[in-house]
Amino acid sequence: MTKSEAHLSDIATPQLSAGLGLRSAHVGEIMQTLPKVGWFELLTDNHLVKGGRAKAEAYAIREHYPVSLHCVNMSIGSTDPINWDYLSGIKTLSNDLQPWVISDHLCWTSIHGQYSHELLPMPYTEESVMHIAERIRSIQDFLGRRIAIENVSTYLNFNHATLTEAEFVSSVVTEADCDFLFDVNNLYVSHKNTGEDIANYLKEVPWNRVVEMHLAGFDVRQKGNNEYLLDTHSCPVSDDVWTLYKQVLKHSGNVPTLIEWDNSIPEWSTLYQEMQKIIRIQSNEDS
Amino acid sequence: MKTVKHSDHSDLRLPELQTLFWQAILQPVMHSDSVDQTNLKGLVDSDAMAIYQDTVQTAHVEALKTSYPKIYALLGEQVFKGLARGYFINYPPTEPNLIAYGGRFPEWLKQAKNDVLPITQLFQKIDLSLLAQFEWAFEQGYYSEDKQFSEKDLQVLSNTEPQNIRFKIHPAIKLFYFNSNLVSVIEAELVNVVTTLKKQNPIKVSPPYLKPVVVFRDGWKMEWLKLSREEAAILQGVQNGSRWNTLSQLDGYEERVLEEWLKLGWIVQIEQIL
Repeated sequence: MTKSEAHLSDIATPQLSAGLGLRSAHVGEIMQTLPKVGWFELLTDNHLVKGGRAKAEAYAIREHYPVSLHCVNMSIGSTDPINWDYLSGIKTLSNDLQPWVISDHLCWTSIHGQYSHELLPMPYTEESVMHIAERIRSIQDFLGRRIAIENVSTYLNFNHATLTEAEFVSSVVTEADCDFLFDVNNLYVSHKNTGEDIANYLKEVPWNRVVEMHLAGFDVRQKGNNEYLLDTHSCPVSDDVWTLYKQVLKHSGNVPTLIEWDNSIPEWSTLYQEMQKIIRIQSNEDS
Repeated sequence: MKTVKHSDHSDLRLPELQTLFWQAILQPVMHSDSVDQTNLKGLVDSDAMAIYQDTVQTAHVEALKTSYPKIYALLGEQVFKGLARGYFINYPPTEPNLIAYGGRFPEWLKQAKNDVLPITQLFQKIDLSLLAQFEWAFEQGYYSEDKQFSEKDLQVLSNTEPQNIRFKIHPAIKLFYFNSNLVSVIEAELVNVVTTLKKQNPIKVSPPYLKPVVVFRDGWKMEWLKLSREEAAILQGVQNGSRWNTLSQLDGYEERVLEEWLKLGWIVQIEQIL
């Protein structure tokens, strides 16, 4: 084992239970001050490039921190064939960076070779469960490790659904033998938009498979006479979501939790303060 | 396993549902009528469907604004957005990585040349499609390979004849030929240029008034530089794979040109051709 390989393996898992999404605007300050952050989440596609700053930043951060790879285009729920070229890129990056988690979403993002770059909804049916579970197993076999799949924000119900979202998530995780990335904000958004029952949801979550949680901000928008929440990741986590997070922790215990803030990116200090709230809540300093 | 409800659409399989859903996303405008046309009637709420349509299309409009900032500034929000939405519908993304989206936008601009009045008027003054190609080269160059010249390559020079040597240049390098107006657009403060372009009469240009401009990567940044016609011809020769002895016959060839390009990181390899 080379010295750098030994160093990477020493810091492979988070030592602190709170993390942040890595944004290019903050890399300079992070590298200068090396703040206490449990890990940095890399949006995989930003670093799946041939070269340049984005690629270099991923490797530089990894010298000092554990990282997770958060993907958005495995298109796990799609009925297109799996894009093995894309997955090969992820595998190579994963072999280099040794992320403590690789994750993607319970959704589809592509069909007929065309990509939406959006997390499109699955109908909660038995067919969807079996389809997605099979694909997750194939992907895990290829990558040689488990992946964590994340619940998404939804804006509609399919009228032919036969399961609740909670039942759907639980069934997929069991069938696929994968991990679960529980996005607390996405549950809240789905609850407001589609009526997903939070109490029932929390009963169904496979807690022994929850390896990570996400928190993020949303926007309130108007459509006709109706209001809906849009999962924008462009502002602080709302008070309601912090309250829900505290409720969730009573079921799960402390789980590594990450702040996602992808748009209207704030100053580093603002982001860091947001992460500190996770630590205070987890240590019962903020009840 | 508990069931929630039964449905009349229980025979709609996933592949068909995803096809219909995607067809709805690609509609130019979301009406409840268009939902009916795609046979999603009753399957989903059309207002909610419209949310997905809007977020998908908006994300791709924003991606194009990032890749083509000067085009966006010249056309303005309304015209650019209309063009960008049309591009999305006609050239849906085929790559998983959003960074790769938008390569055919210059072509799309050219197609719109005679269809949209503000675009027609701008095209009379500058080649918008060529400007877009420049912006795309700039944008993609950020993510190009980190090729660097290796000192070992210099050993090739000492024991190989010039006719057996050629140079490879950095993948980010792209060579363009612009008229004065285009050079002004990439050079100047854009607000002033937009105003100036609106006042100017159409300009007829032909060689030798076209100026060579090269896009290249300097460290992490993308830069551009004007070249002399002679330097451009040499760079074109290198890109075409011309051998060293051929390049040295070109007007304006000097060793210092290649040395400078080595220092700038433009030359990344010396190849021995057997």
